[in-house]
Amino acid sequence: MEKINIEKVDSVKLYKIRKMLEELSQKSGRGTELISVYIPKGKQLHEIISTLQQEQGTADNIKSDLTRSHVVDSLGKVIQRLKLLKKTPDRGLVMFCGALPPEGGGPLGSEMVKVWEIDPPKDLKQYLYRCDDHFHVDILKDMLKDDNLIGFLAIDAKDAGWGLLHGDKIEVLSQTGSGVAGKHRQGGQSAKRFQKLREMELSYFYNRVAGTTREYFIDIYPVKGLIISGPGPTKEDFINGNYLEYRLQNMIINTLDCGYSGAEGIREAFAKSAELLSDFRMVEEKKLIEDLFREINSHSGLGVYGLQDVIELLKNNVVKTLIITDDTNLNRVEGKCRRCQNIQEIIVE
Amino acid sequence: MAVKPHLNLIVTGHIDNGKSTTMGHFLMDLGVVDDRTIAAHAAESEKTGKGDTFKYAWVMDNIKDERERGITIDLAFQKFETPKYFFTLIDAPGHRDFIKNMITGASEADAAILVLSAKEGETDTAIAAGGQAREHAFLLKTLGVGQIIVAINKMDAVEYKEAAYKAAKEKGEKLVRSVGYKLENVPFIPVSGWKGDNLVKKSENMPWYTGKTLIQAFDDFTVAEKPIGKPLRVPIQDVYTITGVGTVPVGRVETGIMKAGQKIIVMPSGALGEIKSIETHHTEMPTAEAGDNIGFNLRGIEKKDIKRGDVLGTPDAPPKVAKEFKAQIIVIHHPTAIAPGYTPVMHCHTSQVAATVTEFLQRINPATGAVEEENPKFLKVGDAAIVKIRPVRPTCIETFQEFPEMGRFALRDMGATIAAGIVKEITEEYKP
Ligand SMILES: Nc1nc2c(ncn2[C@@H]2O[C@H](COP(=O)(O)OP(=O)(O)OP(=O)(O)O)[C@@H](O)[C@H]2O)c(=O)[nH]1
Ligand SMILES: [Mg+2]
Repeated sequence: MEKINIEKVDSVKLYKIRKMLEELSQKSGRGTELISVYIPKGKQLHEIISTLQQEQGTADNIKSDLTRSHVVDSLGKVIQRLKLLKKTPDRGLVMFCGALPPEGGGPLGSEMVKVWEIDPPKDLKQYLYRCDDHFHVDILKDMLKDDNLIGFLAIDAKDAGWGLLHGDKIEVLSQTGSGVAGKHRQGGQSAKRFQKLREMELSYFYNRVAGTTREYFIDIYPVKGLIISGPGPTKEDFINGNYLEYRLQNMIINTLDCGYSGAEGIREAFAKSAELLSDFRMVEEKKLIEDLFREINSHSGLGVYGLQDVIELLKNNVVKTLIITDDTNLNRVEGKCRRCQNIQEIIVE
Repeated sequence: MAVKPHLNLIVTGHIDNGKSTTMGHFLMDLGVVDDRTIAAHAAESEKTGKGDTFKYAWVMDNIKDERERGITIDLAFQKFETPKYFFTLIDAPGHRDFIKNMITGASEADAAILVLSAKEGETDTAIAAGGQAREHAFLLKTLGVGQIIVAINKMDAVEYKEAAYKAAKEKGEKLVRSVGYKLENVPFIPVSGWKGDNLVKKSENMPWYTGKTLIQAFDDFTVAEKPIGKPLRVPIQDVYTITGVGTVPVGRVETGIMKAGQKIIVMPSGALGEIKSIETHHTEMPTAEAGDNIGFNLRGIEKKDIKRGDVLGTPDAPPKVAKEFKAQIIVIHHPTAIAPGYTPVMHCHTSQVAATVTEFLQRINPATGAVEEENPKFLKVGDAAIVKIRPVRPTCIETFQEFPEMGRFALRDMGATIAAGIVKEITEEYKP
C-alpha cells in the first residue's frame, strides 16, 4: 500500500480564485472592451508586452469613442503592470482588465478601469489574448477542476458498486446485484453440483464486473489508482483470478476489508482510505470537520460554531482554523451615523 | 405446511464462539443430519489441515470460502421440529465484516440464541466494545427480536466447571441487561457444541446444572399473534437467477397472506405481476402467511424490477416508499458527535441504504418523550431525538405504528452500530 501523492494546493487560495471567477464571469462590458490575458509559464514578458502594444495600435481604429478609449486605457494598464514584473511568475499569470461601471451602476462615461491579477493554481500552458464583451474565465475554471481521479470498487458475492473520488467529492457511480445463489438455494442439489453451479455464476459475475470497471475507469474516467474493497474473500478471489484487464490490475493501490459492498461500500472504503489519500481535499476536509466535532463534544472550549461566536473569537485573534462552507455568502455592512459619527456594522447574507 | 406453529430462530454471537458447531451438532442429535454426513465432513475437514474440528460447523458452512477459512460468511437456513414448534434455524456469521448478513437474518427472526464462549479470553473479547456479541445483542433488540436464549458454549474446554460457567454467565447477563432485555426472561444454558452437552441430551458432565437443555428451552418460546389480517408485506432477502426456473426471490412474509395466482406489486419499482408458485424449505405450498420463510416464482416481473430490500405487496395496498421520513432515534455509539448531514448506512427489514440525517427537529428525554431542546445542532451518545432522514434512494419503509416489523431500523457507520430508531411518519412519499 503506497500513499498517493498529489500536488497540494492552498485551499484558501483556490476558494478566493473561485469566488473571484464567479464575480468576473458575471461582469459584462458596454461594448467589446473587456480584456483577458493568459500568460503561460516560461513565456517571455517582453513578447507579451510587444503583442499588447500592437493590439493597442490596432485599437486606435475602433469607431466608438468610448469603447476605443476603454480598450486603449485597459491595455495600457496591463502593459504598465507587466513592466513592473521582473520575469514571468513561476506558474504563469492571468490578467483581466476592463472599464466597468461603478458599483450600483452609473451614467455612460462613469466607468473605471480595473485590473485583476490571478496566480494560476497549476502551471498555465496556454496563451490567450481576448478582447470581448465578457471575461474569458473558462480556462481558469477548468484548472480548478481536479484531475486526480481515484476509482473505487466494492464487491462481494452479492453486490458490486463503483465510485469515484475527485478532489473534494466522492461519488457513487452505480451498483449491480450478482444473482449468485446464496446458501438458501442448495436444497435438494448435491453439494458438488451446487458448488459447481455457484462457481460458474460467480465467474460470470466477475467478468461482468471487470467489464464495467474497465468502462468506467479506463474509458470514461481515467483514474490514477483503484481501491478494491468488500467483506471477506470475494475481492481477493476477484483480484487473484485476473478478471481485470492488466492496466487496471496494475492500478490497484489498496485492498480493504469492509463491511459493505455495492453503493454503501464505496463510502465506507473511502472513509477507510483516509491515510492513503490524505492529500486529497475531500479527506482533508473530512478531518477538519472531525476535529471540530471532537472539540465541541469534549467541551474543551477549543471548538466553536455559529457566526457570532466565531466573529467574536476572530476579533480577539485567537482562531487557528476557520471553516467556511463553499456557499456561504456573507457581507459586512458598515453604517456611519452622520450626526454622531457612530459606526455600526452588521453582517448580512 | 406443518400444523405446528412456525418460528424463525437466529444463532448469533462473536466469531469462533461455536455457533455453527453447536447448531450442526444439535441437528445431528435431533436426527435432521445423519452421522454419515458428519463423518464425511470430518474426513474433508482433515484434508484442510485443521483436523476434524469443523465437522459439525460444515452442516451450516457449505460454500467453498467458508470451508477454506473455517468461518461462516452467509446466512444458512435449516429446518427442524421440536415437540411444540416448527423452526427455521438461521445460522449467522460472527465476523464483523459480514454483519450486514447477520442483520438481514435478524430482521427475519422471531427468537435468537446468543452463543458465548465460556473460555475467559473469548468471553471478554466477545462482549467488549467492538465485540460482536455486544453488537449482535444490541441489533437483536433494536430489530425487534424479543426472545433470546444465551448458550454458554465450550464448557468442555473449561472442564465443565461451574465456576467458569458462572463467570461467563455473569458477563453475559450484564450484556443482555444493558441492551434492554429483562433478565428473568432470558435463560442461560451451559453447553458444549463440540461434545453435545445440553443440546438435545441432558449433560452428565455438569450435574450442578439443573436447568433445561437447549431444545427444552426452545419450546418455552412463545408465538406472538401473527399479523395475517394486515396487508401483504414481503421484504425481499435475496433474488437468485436459476437456470431453467428464472428469477427466484426469497424472503419472509412479515404481514398478510400470499397465495399462488395472486396479483402482486413490487416496490419501489412498481412492477406488477402474479405469484406463480411458492415454496418453503423446497416443498411447494399453495399459500404462505406472516412468519413463513419462502422462495417464490413470479410471472410478469423482470429481474431488474426486484432486488434485495424491495418489498412485495398487493396493488390495492402497496408497500410505502419514502423519500424522506420522520423518525425517533437514540444514539448509542459515536466517537464524537453527529450533525445534520450525517450519512450512515440504514438497515431496515432486509434493505440497506445510505441515508442522510437531514434535520434534527427535537432532542427529547428518552424515558418520557418530553422535548428538551428544539433544533439541536449536535447529537451525542445517549441523546434521543426526533429527526428527518432521507435515504439516498427511495426506500420501502413503514411507520412503526402501522407495521412494527418494518418500521424499525439501525444506523451503522465505520463498522459499528451508531443508533437505533423507529419510523414516526413518512413525510415525503415516492410514487413510481
Ligand atoms: N472445545 C470446543 N470447541 C468448540 C466448541 N464449539 C466450537 N468449537 C470450535 O471453535 C471453532 C469455531 O467454531 P464455529 O462453529 O465455526 O464458530 P462460529 O461461531 O460458527 O464462527 P463464525 O460463524 O465464523 O462466526 C471450531 O474450531 C470449533 O471446533 C465447543 O463446544 N468446545
Ligand atoms: Mg459459523
